[in-house]
Amino acid sequence: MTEVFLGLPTAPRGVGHLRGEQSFPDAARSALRNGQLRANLGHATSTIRGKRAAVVGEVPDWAELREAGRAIKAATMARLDEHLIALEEQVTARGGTVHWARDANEANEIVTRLVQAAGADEVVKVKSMATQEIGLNEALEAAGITAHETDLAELIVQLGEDKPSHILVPAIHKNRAEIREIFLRTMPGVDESLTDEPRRLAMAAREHLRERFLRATVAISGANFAVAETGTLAVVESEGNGRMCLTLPKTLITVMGIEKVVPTWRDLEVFLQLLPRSSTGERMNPYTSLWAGVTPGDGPQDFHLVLLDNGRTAVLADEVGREALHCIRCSACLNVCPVYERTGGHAYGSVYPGPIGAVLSPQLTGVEDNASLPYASSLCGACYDVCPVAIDIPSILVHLRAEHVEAQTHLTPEAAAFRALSKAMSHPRLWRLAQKAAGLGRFLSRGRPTLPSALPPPASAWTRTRDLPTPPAKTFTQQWAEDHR
Amino acid sequence: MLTDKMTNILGTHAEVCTAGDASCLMHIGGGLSRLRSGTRTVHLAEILASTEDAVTPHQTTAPAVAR
Repeated sequence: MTEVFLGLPTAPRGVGHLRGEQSFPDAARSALRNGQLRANLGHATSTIRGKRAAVVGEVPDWAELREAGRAIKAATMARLDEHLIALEEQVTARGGTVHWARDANEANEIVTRLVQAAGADEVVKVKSMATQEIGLNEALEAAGITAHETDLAELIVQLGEDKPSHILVPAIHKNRAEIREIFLRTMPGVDESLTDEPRRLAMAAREHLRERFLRATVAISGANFAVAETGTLAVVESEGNGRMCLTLPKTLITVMGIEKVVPTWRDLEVFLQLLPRSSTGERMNPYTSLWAGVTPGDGPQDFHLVLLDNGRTAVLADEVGREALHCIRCSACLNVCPVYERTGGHAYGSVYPGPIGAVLSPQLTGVEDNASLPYASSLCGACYDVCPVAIDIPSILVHLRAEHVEAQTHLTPEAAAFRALSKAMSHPRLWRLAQKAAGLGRFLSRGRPTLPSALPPPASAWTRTRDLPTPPAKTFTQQWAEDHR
Repeated sequence: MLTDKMTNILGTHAEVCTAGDASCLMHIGGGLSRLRSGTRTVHLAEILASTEDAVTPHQTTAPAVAR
């Protein structure tokens, strides 16, 4: 029997948060009806866009820095296997334990087992996209383990039994009045006189979290970077909650996508400049925590690194799409995207929303499971312009659209139309005939520059907001022939 | 997106809105005509073509299409 190669495994169904319940257009339609959401998002994204533009503008060699970031990522991906093995060796040599997880299920099992082995029934968590991607909190809950999110915005989302809608600012869709309401409703023993003043809200969260930091024996984090040559993990953050999680508990478990590795310590120089300016619009993030293995008598005495694939190797196999793995999760592309700004992150259905999510999620799951996402863009290119590692998102979107179209087994109306067009355009006589037929549209227009604004379905979806121009009296070729006699 | 674009365009009280992308213009133009706003969209090439007959003596480059 011959074996059929069905492609590299993608992120499994039924676990994690990479697939939405609705297609993007359906989810976007409901999101657009929410006026409060539109206002919150418009305000937040325009503020952060302004901050980013100002701090990027003051770096004279930003273009070179960006190119360096792109080049390091491309070179790393080309030899990802070697860098990962080097990382494993270094982490192990420094007293850590490395686990390899093929997918979300394996990663969740590994982490659950480690927490149980530590004898804990609760954990504190550093903000992490990878653990959200695999649905770790749900997996822990199923095993009777409570996970406490400690990032302020993640805490708001968790307490509100909501979903994050932005990579960096997961509660961007909530304003402070809504946050106050969530705190009053869900925080045990919260001060009833709590106002929506940001400082008061932060103090309430601080008090709520402090107790959990001091109690927890196990922490779970993600990683922004991992240095292969030294086995160093890096987490950058703004609040200091991450530093608490990374230093206080006895056991630390880090779940990291395999694409987060960088070869050398020196590479951090580039990314630690690119990331904060692109993400929060700060010159430098307030907290940068770096650790390698275990240091006796200082910090966690048991360190585990879970290296997560979950479809990444399949993305790496795609020559065009693999650039999406260069992403450093800054979310600059979300903040400039005219589509994201209006629909918000929930409409994308995945923990990775916005332009980068529209290219990453369909690749991690296989395009058939997120088929509407590559179309969730006007291809304006603003995302490419701001990307600190120059990921050509518009080209990947077009590439994935092509992949989706070619995977269709039935003839869609659009495909039928283009097939007819292609036939007409490759047969001059047929083409001239079609042009003559189109000229009949002049009768419909009765002298106006556009045709009647309602065409029958399915073209009605298109003419709902567009006017089809009246065909000209002479075609271009007729005009040309007359002018060049 | 169309609503926000139209709000910005109408806020300028311009008679004509131009751009280099035909599909954007068709979308925005369709929206504006449905509002009976009086503002229409014109492609940049149409503006350039309309100036072809009014070549000034200062022009040094030859027209793209030789007559």
